[in-house]
Amino acid sequence: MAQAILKRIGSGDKTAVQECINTYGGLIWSLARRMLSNSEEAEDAVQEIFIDVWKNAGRFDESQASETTFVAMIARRRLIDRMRKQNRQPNIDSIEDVLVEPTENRNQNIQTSIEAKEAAQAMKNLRPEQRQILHLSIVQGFSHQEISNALDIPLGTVKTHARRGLIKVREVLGLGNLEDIQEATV
Amino acid sequence: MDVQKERLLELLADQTVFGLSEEELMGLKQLKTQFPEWENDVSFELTAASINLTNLDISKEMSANLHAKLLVAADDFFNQADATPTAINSTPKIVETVGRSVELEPKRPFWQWLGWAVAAAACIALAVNLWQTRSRPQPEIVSKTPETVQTPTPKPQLTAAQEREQLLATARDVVQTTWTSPTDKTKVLGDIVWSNERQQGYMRFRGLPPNDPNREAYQLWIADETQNPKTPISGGVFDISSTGEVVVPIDAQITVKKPKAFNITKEKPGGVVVSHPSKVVAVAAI
Repeated sequence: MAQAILKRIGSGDKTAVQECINTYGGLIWSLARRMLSNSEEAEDAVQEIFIDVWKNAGRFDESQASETTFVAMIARRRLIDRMRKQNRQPNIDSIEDVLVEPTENRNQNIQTSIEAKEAAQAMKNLRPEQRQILHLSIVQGFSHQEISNALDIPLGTVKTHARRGLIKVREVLGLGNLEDIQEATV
Repeated sequence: MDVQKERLLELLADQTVFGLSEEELMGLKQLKTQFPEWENDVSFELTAASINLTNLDISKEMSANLHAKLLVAADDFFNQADATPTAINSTPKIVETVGRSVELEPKRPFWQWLGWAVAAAACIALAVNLWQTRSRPQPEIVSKTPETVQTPTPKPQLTAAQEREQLLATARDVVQTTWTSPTDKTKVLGDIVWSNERQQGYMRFRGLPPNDPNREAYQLWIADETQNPKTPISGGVFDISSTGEVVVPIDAQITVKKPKAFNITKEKPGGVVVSHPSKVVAVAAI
């Protein structure tokens, strides 16, 4: 059962590694290819991410999130570190290419985790500017400065939209409490 | 909610989405001392990860080469963890960088391993010496430089699947192609990897029907551009006993120079010298 992989790795079960690579390889590879510009760099990143996943497997808390989301969180940390340390640009030609509303999967029911499905739904209910900025920052990897320039809005406003949007999605996922939202959106 | 808590949430959200400046990072550290329950909070990061997963196209697969590299990395990782039993579950050193916590595994310098190796060799030498001196009649004492005791390390027996992964990870000229059924080209039965340099390769099958070894056998044929097309190279005879994933080493009868296709036929037990196209059950072209 996929959801038990990390626990098994955390307890030192080597046989779970192959399963881990088979189960999350495509996911990690896709995230790396989306954020990094060339495949060699993406390959290096994937190896680093898997090692991070194995190291942190024992910390997975199934009461907080699914394994898929936990793995995606670790992948995102590593990918962002790589982008920021090397001052790399996201893997797209220009920010204008993604300023339109993000396209959906052919089949919206196909999401990689329960949280992804809920997050997709929560994103739909955000204000358009919050949704757009979260998409540009989290999914596409643009900095607040780049978003501010592209959308021609102040840096502070970019941060505020991102912050409020993220807090709302966090609440929908059951990771935050209502008090946080009320305070943050006043 | 007080102002401090509100600021804490803002900084956590900002850190997750855009990262923090040094100054903001200091502020966040201070706030976390006031709200220690937030010290290890990952809820914002999990939220961002969930958003990152929305509409993610995961149809693109990693290359076989990367897959093999990961298996090697896994071996290294677990071997290291075995040497230091608490490595997996221990808390790695946390180093704060701008806007992010990075977990670092302390690297074990080479000389430390060398130290252990020398110590292990010394123990073995001592054990051998004790055994020799106590189980045999005491020889005359002669002044002699002690010889280094060499204990051959048994080479671990690798499975065909592991050898295949090793080939993929280490050979520079591996070609890889997939098996398809001659009657249904869309039906993939597995893949084949081959290294000309090493004259080594492996077939991997999924769903190839098991054969009755008393009545029939599978045989691999390698079509080589330098060979007469009518006389492909036999790549070995083998049996399939499971419908699950099976890895079979290639046993080419002569040197393969320029392979262009691989065919599997079903033959009588022990194989044949010349086959017929009607017996082909799987093909893989380069």
